[in-house]
Amino acid sequence: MNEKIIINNVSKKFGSFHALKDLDLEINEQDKVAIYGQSGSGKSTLLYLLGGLDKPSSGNIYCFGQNISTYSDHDLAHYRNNFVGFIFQFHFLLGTLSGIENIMLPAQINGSKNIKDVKSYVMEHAERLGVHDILNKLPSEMSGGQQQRINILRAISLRPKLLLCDEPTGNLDSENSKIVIDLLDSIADDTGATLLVVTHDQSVATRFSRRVEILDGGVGNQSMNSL
Amino acid sequence: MSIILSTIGLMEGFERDLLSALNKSNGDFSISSLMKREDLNALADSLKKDYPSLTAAGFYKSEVFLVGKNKESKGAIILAGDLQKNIIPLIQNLSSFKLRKGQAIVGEDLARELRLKKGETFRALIPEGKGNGFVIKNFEISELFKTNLYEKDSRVVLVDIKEFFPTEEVAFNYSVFNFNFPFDDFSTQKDRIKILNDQLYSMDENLYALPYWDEYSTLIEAVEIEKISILVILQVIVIVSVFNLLSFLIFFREKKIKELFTLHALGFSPDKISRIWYFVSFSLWGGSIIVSIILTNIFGQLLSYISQNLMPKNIYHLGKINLYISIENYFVVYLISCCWILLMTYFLSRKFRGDSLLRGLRQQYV
Repeated sequence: MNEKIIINNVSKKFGSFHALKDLDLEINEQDKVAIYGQSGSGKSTLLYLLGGLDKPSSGNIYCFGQNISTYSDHDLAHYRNNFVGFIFQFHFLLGTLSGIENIMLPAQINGSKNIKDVKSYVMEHAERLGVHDILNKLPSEMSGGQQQRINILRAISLRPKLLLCDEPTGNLDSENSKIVIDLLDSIADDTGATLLVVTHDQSVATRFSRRVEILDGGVGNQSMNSL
Repeated sequence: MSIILSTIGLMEGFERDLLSALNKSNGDFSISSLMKREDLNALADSLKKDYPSLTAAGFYKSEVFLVGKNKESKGAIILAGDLQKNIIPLIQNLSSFKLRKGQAIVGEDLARELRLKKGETFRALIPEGKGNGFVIKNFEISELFKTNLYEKDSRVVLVDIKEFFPTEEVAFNYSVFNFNFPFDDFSTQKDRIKILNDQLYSMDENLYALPYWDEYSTLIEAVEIEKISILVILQVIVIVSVFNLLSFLIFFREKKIKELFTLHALGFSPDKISRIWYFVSFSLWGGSIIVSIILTNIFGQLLSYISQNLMPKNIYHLGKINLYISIENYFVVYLISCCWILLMTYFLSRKFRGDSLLRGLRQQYV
């Protein structure tokens, strides 16, 4: 199976507004890519399209050999659950569920994964992230940083091939930002996932081996460096 | 659903109880021509060719004036038949009862109005006809009957034919017939009487069968029309219920939309979300069915008590009204409610599918 992510001539329109315009981009397997740009440049839209949360208005997106832009809602849901770990900027944790219940949601939805295995994998990482002792708390009883880690644990619980992060450091100070980026980096190394991080913060972007600027709905500057 | 079922049950119950009580107290049909005993037997034998289980009973029917205890008095109808042999089909639960001379069987309500009990005596002023004045006779109440039909229970006195015709030479002016078929659909019964009257007309132009419901045909017709009118009016309740249900489902949607969008983002397919909608809706439907059955039964018990103890019998004719709800009625009401629920759930489910996942997540969380 071709593990490359190929974005081919993709456009996304919201009414008359073009969020993305004829965008072409290729991302290799296990790449760690920072997608940066100004607010409203279309970087988050690109991430949502890659995560199967939205569909392009035109063009094709090939993920793991499949053209997901032709997927039905049902197929996209399956794709999101099986291939994608999404770390949302606003965490999207359910307030009525405890941390561990939130983390186990993708596994519960999946149905075919061994819950015990998933749980032991999650517990292992929870300890690493320092949230193992707050897993039974409700999100409202956690700090923003703790909620972010629960969010990360939920995203990696099914060992996704593609880890997408939308402004993961948006609400954090520079010290915590560094911790989170290091964490994502090491998790991507451990799981062998392709990591894409959307950020508006240039200092965060420079920490990634590949950086892609999204400018007015298209690809602007691209740069590579070895960290 | 409970209101609809109870209303349907009340109307059906009233009609059914009225027809049943009339049938039990009037037989299937009556002929008011003057007939000697042998004429009646010949007619019955002739009809038996087509209706082998037919039974017939001849009566002499006359209006009387009764005087009871403390000079309580009331006009009544006296029916004199072969009560030493049988009283079928007039009062079914007294079919094996035998009456002696000077004895009478009186309706329960009539006895109460005359302030009489079983074993006590009343006077009957019986017109002799042709302006010859009255004959006064005393009767002892040997039994009380209850047909559940107020007009019968408060007006009819049964005595033996020998009180009027001491010899075998009798002149029946009111003959009652019973097909002895199982009590079936009203329209089938109507058709049967129509066919019978054609037969009787071909036998003798003066013979005409009055069906057992004849004296209440206007009321029964009115009930039929009222049933339709009430069913139309009940649509208001249906509309209100539909809005209630819709508001509940919208409330539920608003309450749970955050969870649904989150689950959807994590890979819960739209089909599975639809299944949740349908599960909630059908649980609601199932719960409503159980509640409606319980409430309808409570109403049925209340109605039974009210109709027996508080309802003016002379207005409603029946001593007691039971709720009658057929399986078909349950089926129709539950099926229609199911259709409404399915329709609403379908539109809500479609609306969810139509909503953008991203917009939904942002609306709920940001």
